[in-house]
Amino acid sequence: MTMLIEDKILFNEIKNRNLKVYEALFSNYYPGLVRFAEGYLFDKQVCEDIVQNIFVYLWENAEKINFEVSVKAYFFQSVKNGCLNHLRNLQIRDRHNLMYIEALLNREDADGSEDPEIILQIRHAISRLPEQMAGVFNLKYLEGKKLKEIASIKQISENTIKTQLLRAKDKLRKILLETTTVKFIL
Amino acid sequence: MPKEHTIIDFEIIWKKINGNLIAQEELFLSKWLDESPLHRQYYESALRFYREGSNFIDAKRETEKAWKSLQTKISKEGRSSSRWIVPSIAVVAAIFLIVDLIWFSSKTETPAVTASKAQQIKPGTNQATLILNDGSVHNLSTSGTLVLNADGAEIKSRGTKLEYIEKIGAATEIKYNTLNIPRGGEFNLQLADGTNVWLNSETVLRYPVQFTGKERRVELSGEAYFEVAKNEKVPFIVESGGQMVKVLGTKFNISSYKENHFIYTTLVHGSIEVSIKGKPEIVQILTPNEQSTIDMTEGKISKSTVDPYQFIAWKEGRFVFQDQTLESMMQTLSKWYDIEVAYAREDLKNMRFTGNLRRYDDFGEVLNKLKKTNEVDFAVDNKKITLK
Repeated sequence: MTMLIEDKILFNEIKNRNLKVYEALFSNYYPGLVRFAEGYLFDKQVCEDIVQNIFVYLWENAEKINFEVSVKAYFFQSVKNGCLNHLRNLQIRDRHNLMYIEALLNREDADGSEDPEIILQIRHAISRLPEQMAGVFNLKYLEGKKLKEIASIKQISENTIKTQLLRAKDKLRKILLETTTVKFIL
Repeated sequence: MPKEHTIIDFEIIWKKINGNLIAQEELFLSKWLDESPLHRQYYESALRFYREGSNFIDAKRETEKAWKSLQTKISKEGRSSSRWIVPSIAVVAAIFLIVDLIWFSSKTETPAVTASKAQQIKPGTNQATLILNDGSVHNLSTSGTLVLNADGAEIKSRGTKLEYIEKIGAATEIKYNTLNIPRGGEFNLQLADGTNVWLNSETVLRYPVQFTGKERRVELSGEAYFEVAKNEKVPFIVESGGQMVKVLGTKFNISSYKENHFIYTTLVHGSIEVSIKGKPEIVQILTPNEQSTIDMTEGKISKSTVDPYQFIAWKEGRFVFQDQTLESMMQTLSKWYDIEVAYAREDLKNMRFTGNLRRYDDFGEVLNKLKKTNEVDFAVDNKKITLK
């Protein structure tokens, strides 16, 4: 997958120590990244540290880094690696990708398009949701539509969408629970 | 000291919180939890998160705060390779202890023997002793959950926070309780009027159980951060070591340790009046971002503008040192880690450091960071640290 020209430009500006661009990237991605990290580490303080570390590393080492992915992917992959590192030191592993799913669900701009294996897992779980919930959930997490768009497609208020998504997440957790139980016994 | 490390799959933690575990899994979880307080800490964070949701709420504000913090960690000048300035033992040299540097440095470093001894010095925990009006003592750290009906209120403790719920009924006399935090401890207290207090190590707070009458008066020795419930008709007064602070409803930090002869009061929000007991003519009014300093030996009061974050960071789980002497840093750290500090050379005491450390790190982490500055070395003997 080739890099978008916008991303190439952004990375170049960072290499050239453009503080304004750096600050803009930070303001834009910080909340999403922290919430994503919360799917792994839960503690706000720890998550903020990890995300901030990544930004420091980016600033200090931009010349050396080989950016091959989009800006968004760079940040999210770095946070994921940082979290997994932290978890390794706590002797925790996550073979069923439960944390990744939770992390994705935490992000407001989540769209599972980053990881095909995860999409499969989520699709399977979604197929067991009640039809109405499944519809809304697919639009949000697999097609990456914004709440406004979903509201207009389904002809329901944004608030109702939000509630449905919350309920869907809860149900999804229960479904994942059942499926992982089966895996464990096997 | 090699420890046996059990690797747990997150699935077990997840199932424990969201569903059910079979006996085998329960045992495994217990074993993993027992292996390190950090494991337990992680588990508690997960539990809290699933029950109460994220703490990251005001995204705009959090991001602004984080940006400020980030700016102190990045170098803005040209691309110099020696980013961490290592000064000689000169007059005012700021040495940056960068927390992040550790995260990226190679993990193949084997700690020195003394450093691994220091790893055993653990950070503080929630510890407190409650003394009721009749003098009976309750240890809040070991008793875990505590529910009492005493002195006209329902008193609840859940291991980290002590709460008072006022019982309706006229109080005939004001009854006092005392909360005692030892070295290496910290605790959270909610008074009957809704005022929230964070108490740091080596601190004692004496307070009325019920708030009746014309004022709400408490006595402090040590350090505490207050968020006073607003009540314009009944001012909140904090007495500490000869200082009086009068408050209507506001957020501030008082540091009043007997061994210093200075009392520092930092105002975050609202408005407070600081005065010296017995000298009613001296009254200082603080506005947000101001700090009052009382020199107890001279009986003098002065005021300055500050960034309050440095002084309340402890309640947010961090130590923030801004161009501070090693001696003063060690005084703060020794209370939290419950250690003794000695200096091989007098001039070490005046070395200055700037840094931002995590309160819940083992003391070994702190020493490692100091060592990386190449200016200080140390020897560890049980709970006594000698800096050289």
